[in-house]
Amino acid sequence: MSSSGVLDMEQQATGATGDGPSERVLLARLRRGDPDAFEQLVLEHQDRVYDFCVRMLGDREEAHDLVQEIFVSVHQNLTRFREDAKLSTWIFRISKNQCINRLKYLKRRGRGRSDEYGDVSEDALSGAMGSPPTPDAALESSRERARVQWAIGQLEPDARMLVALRDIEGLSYEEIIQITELAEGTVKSRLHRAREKLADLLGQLEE
Amino acid sequence: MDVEPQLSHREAKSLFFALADEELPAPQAQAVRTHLDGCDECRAGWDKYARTVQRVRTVEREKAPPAMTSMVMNRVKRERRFGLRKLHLAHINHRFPVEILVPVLLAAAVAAFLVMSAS
Repeated sequence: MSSSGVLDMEQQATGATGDGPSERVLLARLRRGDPDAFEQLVLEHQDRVYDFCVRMLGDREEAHDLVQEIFVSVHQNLTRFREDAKLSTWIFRISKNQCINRLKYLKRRGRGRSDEYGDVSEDALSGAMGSPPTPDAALESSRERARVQWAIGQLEPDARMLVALRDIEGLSYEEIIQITELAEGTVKSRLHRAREKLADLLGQLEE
Repeated sequence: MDVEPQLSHREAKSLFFALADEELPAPQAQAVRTHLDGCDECRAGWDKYARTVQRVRTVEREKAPPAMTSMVMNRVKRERRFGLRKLHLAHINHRFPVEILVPVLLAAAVAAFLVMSAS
């Protein structure tokens, strides 16, 4: 499904409201075309959107490019946001669709620009994504990040998305249901299976 | 206080998800913990499951590169200035592979040249 398709769809009213007065003020400024307001929105959401894209795509270069496209899409479609969900939920919904589209594109092309997390050998982990030499704690943190990301990358995109939204971004099930348009039972059973698979994958790495 | 009946292995494992999310009512959570205390296999399974959830939840987050905001703002300005919205949407929705796009554009250029030179 294209992002515009989703944006065209009725944003199903689920009783969710925005983040309160500050979000409403920001939205009012955005709708007046205030460029500072849009810059504020990007600043507030860019880290979470970037993190989500990295989890989904497993590639920072692709994520870097896609985050820009996501915010351009957000800018172009702001007038269609009806405030029946939080702004962050709506942005995640656009991000999810853009990531799925990008993954399809990358699959057609064979792979991403770089297989950043494709190899979790000890050498790759010690290189930890091209980081310069770091103290032990930071190095271990980078290795752990690479291990976890490698395991997430082995999941199917739908499962990856649920792990990213729930266990990494910490969203509520209500928000996840709005973003994914899946039933609560489906979200929970798929997430449970994804966690079990992650446990097996991470266990394999430690053997 | 209600006492939950003893859980089977299968029932205990099916509750790992809710236990990890701290969504189980206290009596049910206690029933699972009681089962885990007496079952090494389920205890090992729970430890593995809970540790995985914990690792994923505490993994270091990726931060957007520092220049991201200015890059986005530049792109938004560019889109507005040149009115490339439709082209942009076509690109993000379809992302024509380069190996198709380049020959198509070349063919269009040659065709245009031939038409112009014939007239």
